[in-house]
Formats: sequence, structure tokens, C-alpha cells
Amino acid sequence: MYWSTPGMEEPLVLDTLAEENFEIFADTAGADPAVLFGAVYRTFSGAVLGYLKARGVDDPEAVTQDVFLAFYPKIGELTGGLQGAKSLVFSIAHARMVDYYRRVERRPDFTPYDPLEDSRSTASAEDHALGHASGSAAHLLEGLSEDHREVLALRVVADLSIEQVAGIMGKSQGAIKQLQRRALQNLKDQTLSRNQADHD
Amino acid sequence: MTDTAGSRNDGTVDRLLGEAGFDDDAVLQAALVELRGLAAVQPQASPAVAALMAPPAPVAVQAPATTRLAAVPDMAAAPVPASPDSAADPAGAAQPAGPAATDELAARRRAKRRITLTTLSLAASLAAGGAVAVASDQGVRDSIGQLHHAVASFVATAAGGPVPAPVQKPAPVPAQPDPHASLPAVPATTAPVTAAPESGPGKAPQHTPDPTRTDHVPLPDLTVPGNVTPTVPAEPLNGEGPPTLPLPATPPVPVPSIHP
Repeated sequence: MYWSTPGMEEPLVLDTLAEENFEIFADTAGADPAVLFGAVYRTFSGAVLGYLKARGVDDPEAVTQDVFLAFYPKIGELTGGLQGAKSLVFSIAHARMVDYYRRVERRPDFTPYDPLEDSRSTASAEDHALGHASGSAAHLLEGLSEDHREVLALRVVADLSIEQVAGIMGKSQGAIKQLQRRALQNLKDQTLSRNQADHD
Repeated sequence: MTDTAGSRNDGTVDRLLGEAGFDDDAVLQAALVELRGLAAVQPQASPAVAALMAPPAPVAVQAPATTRLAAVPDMAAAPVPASPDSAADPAGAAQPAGPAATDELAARRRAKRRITLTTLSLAASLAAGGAVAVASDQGVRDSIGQLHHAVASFVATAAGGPVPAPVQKPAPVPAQPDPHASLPAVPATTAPVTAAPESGPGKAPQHTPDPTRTDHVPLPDLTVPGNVTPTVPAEPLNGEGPPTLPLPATPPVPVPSIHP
């Protein structure tokens, strides 16, 4: 399902890849799986990590490693070149993210209150001077709905096409376009209100 | 890592904004560029992932690896069949951490086989134990039953005497051999069979008030037919007493002779 991508509107990722990765994925039939796996990891690990950070997953580094460990046994069935590998990697990452939130819903957190971990604090003068605190990029999506977060994370951070996002989220391309438009509008409103609050 | 992030993000973000109709929106562009920066950091590969990414060792290393695997069957033979391709073998032979990833699949398969083997062996042992227990129980019952059958059949067929036969009948009646007892003496068994449930050990005290009731009822019956009177009260009297031996011998024979 996620393997064959025509790539009609998909020059997005191609410019981000090294030439050697193109050559590696030119013919995956007799290629070494270790080489393919290394190329996929070097190409998409940063995007997977950023996607998991944007979605608020705890310990995104470990989940990123799990995603690629789950991807490795499927290299032999890989078709569609690098775009197919990308779709597969992010479909696995999406599934892990969904699993994470289901797990969180099932197990409420009973950790005691730790004032050092309380994020409800004002930023220091250094943070104000440097712009934003670390990890604030992921907080940009906090006020949005789940679908809007997912669409923006897959489109912007993971750099997937509308067709790929539709395949991963199980929606039509038209629905993804609508979600994307509304998510951008909500993100704009939220950013404006946040900037206005910062100025005040 | 982040050296070319700005230029790349600009193209991606601009294209996205153009598709959504927010072409020259500076606010959204800044937010999306910041969001896109999350993908700029490449995480360090864990040891397991690094082992899978390990470049294939030169082909010359592959030959001694296979010889080693043949020489050491226990430790290194497991990852070889689990690896999908031969390229994983040099990685596993070159580094000790290499077979760890391929060992996972082999370990899972082994675990599945072990589970099936253990379940099969457990089921077989349970079935054997249950069969032994059942056989032991039935053996005891069969032995006792066979003793009764043998004694009853031998006495009924070989001896054939009317006196010893009913003596042995009440003994097997509580156990099992009812059909065997009824076969040899048909007229004799009809009377004791009706008397047998009445002469049960638990019901014996209940029959003592029964004659008091029957005393009122059979009296008019006895008076009307004079022929049957000696025989009819004889049956409940026989049922009361545990020794049913003398009753079947005397009354049943003359009663049918009287009626015609």
C-alpha cells in the first residue's frame, strides 16, 4: 500500500538525498540489505526523530531506533525505491506513535510532583534573549487537534507528499488537503496569539 | 546537520504554503521553518542499529566465517539460517554485536519451537497419566465385576439347584448382575425382584407401617375371592422379611394351578 509511489508531485525529498543514496536505491533487487538499511537510516532518521518529537513521544531517540529495527526485516520486500522506503519507515513511525498514545491512555501517570520537572514556569532572561527554549518547536503544535498535528508533522517534518500522508493516515487526498489547510490556519492563529501574548 | 537546513526548509515550506494558499504568509513560514528544523538533527544509531548498518566485510572474510560457523556449531550456527541474506553473515562474523540483531529472529523461532514442544510433551504426559489413572480405576472395578460375574454364572449354570441359586442372588443384586440372575429362574426371580426394592436395607423400617395400612385394604379383597386369599397376604409378608428364600419356593407353584 505504501510502497509504490508514483512521485508525481514529489520532488520534495529528492533534493535532500545524497547521490550515493540514489545509486543505492536504483536497484534494490540484488542490493546488500545492510547498505540499503544504512542509506535509509542516514536519509530518514533525522526526519523520523523530528516527527516523533513533534508528536510529543517520550524518548523519541529510542523509538526512532525501534522504528528502524522494525524496518530492517522488511527490506527484502521493499519496492518503490527510496520513496517506498520512506513511506514504509514513516508508516512504522506513525504506528509506533499511535501505540505510544494508546499506552499512555491505558496507563495513567502516577509520578509524584517534582518541581524541577514542572514546565509551568516562565522562561529565563537567557531564553528570552536566545529566542525560545529548547524543544519549543515541538510546542508549536500543542494547541492543535490530533489530525492537524499529524498532518503538519507528516507534511512538514517528515516531508511526505499528500498521497503518502493519505496512505498513512487512512484518509483520502482531498481530506488531507482540507486538514492541511485548516491546520495551517489554526497554526497561524495560534502563533499570532502567542506572539501577541509575548509582546504583552 | 543544520548547515543546509535553511535552504531546504525554505523550498519545502514555500511549496507547502503555496499548495495551501498561504503563499506569502511570513508568520506561517517562520513557524513551519522552525518546525522543519526538528528533522535536522540525525540521531546517533544504537548498537543494534549500527550492527545492522555495518558495511559488508570484504569477501575474503566470508570464507573463514563459514568455516568458523561449521567449526563452532553452538554459538555461531544460529544466526546463519536466521539471516535473510548472506550479507548479514560477515557482519555477524566480524563483530560480536552483529549477530545480536539476527539472533532475535532465531531466538523467536526457537522459542516458538520450544513452546510447541513443551505443550506437546505436557499434553502427552497428562494424557498418559490420566489414562493410567482411569485404567487403574476400571481395573479394580472390572476385577470385582468379573469375580461377581464368574461366581454368579458358574453357580447359575453348573449347580442349577433352586436353593443355592437364590441364596447367592441377593448378594449380587446390590452390585450389578441383575440380568444374569433373572435368566436362570424366571418364575423364581419375578417374586424376589419385586421384593428386592422393598427389602432394601434403607427401606426396611418404612415397611413396618405399611402392613398396618395393608391390613385395612386387603381385608375386603381377601374375603371376596376365597382362592387368592392365602397367596395375596403372603407377598407383603415375604417382602417384609429379609429372607426371601422360602416364599418363592412354596407359593408361586400352586397359585397358577389354582386359577385354572
